[in-house]
Amino acid sequence: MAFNMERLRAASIAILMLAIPASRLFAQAGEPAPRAGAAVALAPSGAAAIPLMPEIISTYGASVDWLFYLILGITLFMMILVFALFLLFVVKYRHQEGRRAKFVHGNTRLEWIWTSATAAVLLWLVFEQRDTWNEIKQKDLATFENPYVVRVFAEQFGWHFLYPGPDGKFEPSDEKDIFPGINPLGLKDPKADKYSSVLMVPENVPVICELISLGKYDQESGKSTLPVLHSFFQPNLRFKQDLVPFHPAKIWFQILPGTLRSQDNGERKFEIACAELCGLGHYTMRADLQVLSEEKLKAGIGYDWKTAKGKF
Amino acid sequence: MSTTTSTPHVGETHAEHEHHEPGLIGRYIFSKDHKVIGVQFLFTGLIFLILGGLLALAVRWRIAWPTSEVPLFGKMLDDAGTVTGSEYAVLFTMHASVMIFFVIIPILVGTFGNFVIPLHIGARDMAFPFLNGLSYWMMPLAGIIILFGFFVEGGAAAAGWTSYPPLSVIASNGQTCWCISLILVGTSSIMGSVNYITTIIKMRAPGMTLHRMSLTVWSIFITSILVLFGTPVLTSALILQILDRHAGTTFFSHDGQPLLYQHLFWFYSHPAVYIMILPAMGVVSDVLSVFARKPIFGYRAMAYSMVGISGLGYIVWGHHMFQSGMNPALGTTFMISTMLIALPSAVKTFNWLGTLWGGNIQFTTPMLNALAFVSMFVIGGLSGIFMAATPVDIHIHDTYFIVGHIHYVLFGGSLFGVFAGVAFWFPKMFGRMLNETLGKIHFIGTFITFNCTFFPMHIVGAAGMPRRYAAYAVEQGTTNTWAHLQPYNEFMTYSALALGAFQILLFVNIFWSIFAGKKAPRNPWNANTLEWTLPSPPVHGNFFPIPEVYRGPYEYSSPLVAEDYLPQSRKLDPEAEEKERRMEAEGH
Ligand SMILES: [Cu+2]
Ligand SMILES: [Cu+2]
Repeated sequence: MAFNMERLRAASIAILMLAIPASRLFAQAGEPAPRAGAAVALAPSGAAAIPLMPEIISTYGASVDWLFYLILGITLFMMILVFALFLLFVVKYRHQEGRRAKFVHGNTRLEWIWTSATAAVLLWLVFEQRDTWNEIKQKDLATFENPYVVRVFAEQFGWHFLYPGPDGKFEPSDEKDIFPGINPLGLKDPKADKYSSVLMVPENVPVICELISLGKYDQESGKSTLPVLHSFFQPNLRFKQDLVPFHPAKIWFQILPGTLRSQDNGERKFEIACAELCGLGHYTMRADLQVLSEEKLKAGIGYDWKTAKGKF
Repeated sequence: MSTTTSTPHVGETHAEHEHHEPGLIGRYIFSKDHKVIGVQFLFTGLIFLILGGLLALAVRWRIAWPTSEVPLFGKMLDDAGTVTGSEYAVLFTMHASVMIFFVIIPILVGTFGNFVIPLHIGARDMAFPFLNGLSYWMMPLAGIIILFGFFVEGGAAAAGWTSYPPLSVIASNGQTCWCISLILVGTSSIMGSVNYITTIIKMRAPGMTLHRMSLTVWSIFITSILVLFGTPVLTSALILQILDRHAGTTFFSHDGQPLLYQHLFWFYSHPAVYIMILPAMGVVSDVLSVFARKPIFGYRAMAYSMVGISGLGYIVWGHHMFQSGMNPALGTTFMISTMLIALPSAVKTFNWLGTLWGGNIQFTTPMLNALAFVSMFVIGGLSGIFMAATPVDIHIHDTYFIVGHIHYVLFGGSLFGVFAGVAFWFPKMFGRMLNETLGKIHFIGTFITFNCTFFPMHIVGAAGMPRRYAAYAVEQGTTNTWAHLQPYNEFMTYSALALGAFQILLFVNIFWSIFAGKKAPRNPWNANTLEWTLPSPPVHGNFFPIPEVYRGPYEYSSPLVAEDYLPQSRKLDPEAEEKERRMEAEGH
């Protein structure tokens, strides 16, 4: 990274700050109000108070943010350049009686220069994205030695998380066995696995989730409603993936070491949201991602995942 | 019908012409005159603009104050007068559908296409006047059907303007109304585009070569090609969706392919983004050149960049589906094509700057709106690069960042383009001038409140605030990640309310000026294109006789004449003509 990322970030934030009456907003948000606009924003502590991007808790989050701020830097530069020329021209060449505009139809050389310069920047940007995208979405999940595995079920409007249990295997499930509250996932043996409404994960271990969209089964009519699209979104992970009915997908992330701070007592919560319109209750479809220390995780899921060696 | 269209009358006045015309209904209601049809599209669009705007304000109200009663319209909602979560889904779905399909496309393509094309190319009317009328009359019908959705059981469509299955397959019957309505809109668009393409290819006046056409005509020509090849794909997707809903098929639902719908939908709807911006680009190019009193900078680059956009526009649709479960390898492919499509837009922006450089800029209402278009399109275009980048899109996809981006393009871009075009051609449409003072107040108010409404969306979007949420601080919510952004949401809603209020001035100005505005001369802006040689408004049949065209439309401040404009159809004396030919050979 040739750029000084902190400075790039602070500078771009400073410019954004000018656009909104921010201090009032922060005061209301319960955060310490910055003492004065841009000067504070340039200081790293002030930058942290600005809700531009939330705290990163995944190993790949920083490279997503790097690309975000890289594009922000380039686009802000372009925007300022264009606006400066724009204002200059509009003021300098405003109508004056008796003056005549230049009779110019273009400038082929100039047009070639700006076209090829823009093309070069855009193509460079493309290549900058590739590695991060491959790391997040195209990773060969078989390469992980000892991953922590969870099944993520989404339905209208809630999340269920299924842990494989001490035997390390997921129970087969059948929608005909779904009883809301008792056996919400229709497992053959609901006691063999652990399910929860909270996604509990350890720190610094590759986590593989299988995302499954679930229809709601109604025992009385014997019919299930059609499963719909949802999207698994956790902003702190910088991760998002749609859940497509009948097409389960496997995704991965790894919590950054140090996410659990000393004051956290071995447990920290982040919010999972649904990011794909799934019906009228879409906005209520939230759940917690809990990052837990080894002991708390053992207590939470009821077994030691390290000895159980979970598999799909 | 009128027989006068085929007989040229030189110097005929409106009054003489009138008694050859069909009756009042034939003239103003079921007219085949392209100018009347253009105005009909305009008024239909403006009526839907009010509706779409009110829906947007209700959406904003709910986001800012979920539990307080909506003023004035509260009685139309549930008992408490607040917007409920389910009403909210209807509101944002209908807001987007109305604005896209009943405001922006009809005004940009319907109004400017109909009104401007024959006048700019020197034709008496469209190639198929009857088809043209038919294309307009599909629109009110489609409007009635989509609004009928509000009265069916379960309410109007609520699956988003994208209407992804399987949700749209299990939605209420308002969804079927939505599908049928959009099929009609699509049919109307297809009929219009066939007409525009044929007219532009076959009916240009003598001397009107392709490279002497205005960029407005170029833009609508290219837009029509996009419409013609894209719309049938959307129409078939909608038909399949109706079959899934009512005939028990499983194209997109059950064990079918939900992603197939998304591919079909975006195969039309990405080009539709350009359908909604290209005509505005054309109109703005014309307006900038007229009021900078300067030739457009890089005319050919301007025209060909639009051709480039239309070509690339068909191979970028997957950028809406990076997180959809589509093969991630395709993500990289679509990222490359999407980054490339930024190039023609950048070229256009630089050429607009070049047009301003060295000009003699007059700040009329159309010009101010055109300048706003350029600057806001810069923001909307640049913010698009964030979502073209696949890894960055992971975070901002389906957040308010996208909402901010699309409004900078469709409001900051398309709608300011509409304001510019309406103000520019108003004198020709109605024979009256718009009030400049009112126009300027409307412009300044709109420009400021627009930015206050939509710019903060990028900030809350970067914070990850999802779109299409009826509330951010939910009881069920646990950590309520976005609750602290509520002050931003309130600020945006206050701005949106002010933005809405400023639009009252637009309507006052239009309707007051139609009846009481200053009488418009033939050429109030000293512009070059052919319509300004005609009386305001021109008679049915426009040109008697058909003019001869000698040059392109952007010869402002030419050294050949004393005035700072040189109309396309003015014949120069032989000496100046010789000079002009030499200048042209030098590539001027
Ligand atoms: Cu959802
Ligand atoms: Cu697109």
